[in-house]
Amino acid sequence: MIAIQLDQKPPHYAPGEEITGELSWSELPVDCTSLELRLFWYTNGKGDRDLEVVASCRLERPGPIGRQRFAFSSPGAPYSFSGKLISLSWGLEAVPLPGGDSLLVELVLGPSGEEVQISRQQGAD
Amino acid sequence: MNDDRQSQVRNGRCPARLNPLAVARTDNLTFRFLLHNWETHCQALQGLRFRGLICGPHGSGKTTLLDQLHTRLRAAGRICWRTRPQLDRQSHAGFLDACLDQPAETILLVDSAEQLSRWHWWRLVRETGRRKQGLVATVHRFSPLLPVWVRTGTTPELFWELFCELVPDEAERWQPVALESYQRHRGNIRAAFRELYDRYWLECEPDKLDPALNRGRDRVLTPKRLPVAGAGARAAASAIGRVAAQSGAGRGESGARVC
Repeated sequence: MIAIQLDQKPPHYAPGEEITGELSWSELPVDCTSLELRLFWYTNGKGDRDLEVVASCRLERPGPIGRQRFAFSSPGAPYSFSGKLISLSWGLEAVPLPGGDSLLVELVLGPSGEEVQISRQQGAD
Repeated sequence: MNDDRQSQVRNGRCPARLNPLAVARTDNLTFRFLLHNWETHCQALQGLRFRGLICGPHGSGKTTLLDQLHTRLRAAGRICWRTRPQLDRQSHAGFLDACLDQPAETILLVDSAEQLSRWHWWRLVRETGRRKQGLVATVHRFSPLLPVWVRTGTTPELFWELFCELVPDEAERWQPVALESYQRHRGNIRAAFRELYDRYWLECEPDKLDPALNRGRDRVLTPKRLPVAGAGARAAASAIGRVAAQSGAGRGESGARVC
């Protein structure tokens, strides 16, 4: 089992702000050789999906149980946003390698720490 | 409706990430055979020496089936190469070369093979056959060069089953609209889902939106193997070491070293 505990609640961040927290794990697969923590953004919506890992860190030989503090500096862009056709979301994912169940925690990155809404307002259409 | 929901739903409209008909969710639907099951079809494909067509109309699940076949073959230890020709016909010679560069034991999984010119398709079938490579390709129409492995198709019952999986809590309310969309698109499930995506955006009931729905069932998984870490990753790694050292919690209980 893997858990990601973020220090900031709710996990909303402004560009440049530090994303800190603790990664903990137990009962990893026996053949797990490393544990990778990835900061990435991805899109979701009506069209094709896109994804980019902007930073990652690997723990070699994590052992069956453990915990590790982490810190990422949140990038300046792209902001989290949501509209009719597409949403862009940020996430932190812990991935046991070479295989096993990963864990995703969603974040929000925005100019004021909020997701940008790009839906048209009522009455504007 | 709580504040969180209010911030997610403006004017009763659904943000893309909460739309149950978003591609992240529709892509995760498993392929259903109209006849027989995976075991039967896998045996048939082995009998064809992994050379056959997935043939069916638009939106009937050809690509979904190809992707799921890819997953199964890899899990079984087979070497596969999943690819798709570009629309640009100038690139087809390069596409063919890339296919033929694959090792002999490779099973080529070609999506939208009919993008290829007849000449390139003929050469692909012939040359991969001579090299004893597997070749499974999706097409809309039968080709005499390869036997049909699976004919895909849809039924209203299948469509409804898939729709209920996507929109479990509101399926009944949407039933007439959904089935009418399926009929209007003449059985093209992909087109029906795209239309229903828009309808859902306009007519969703905010209280029924479940932020956990997309998150829990369709976790976005980054690729298992990442390219070599760039500067951003190295900076992040050093940041982890710094915080770990400051907090004194740098080493896991198992003695794992700090990144």
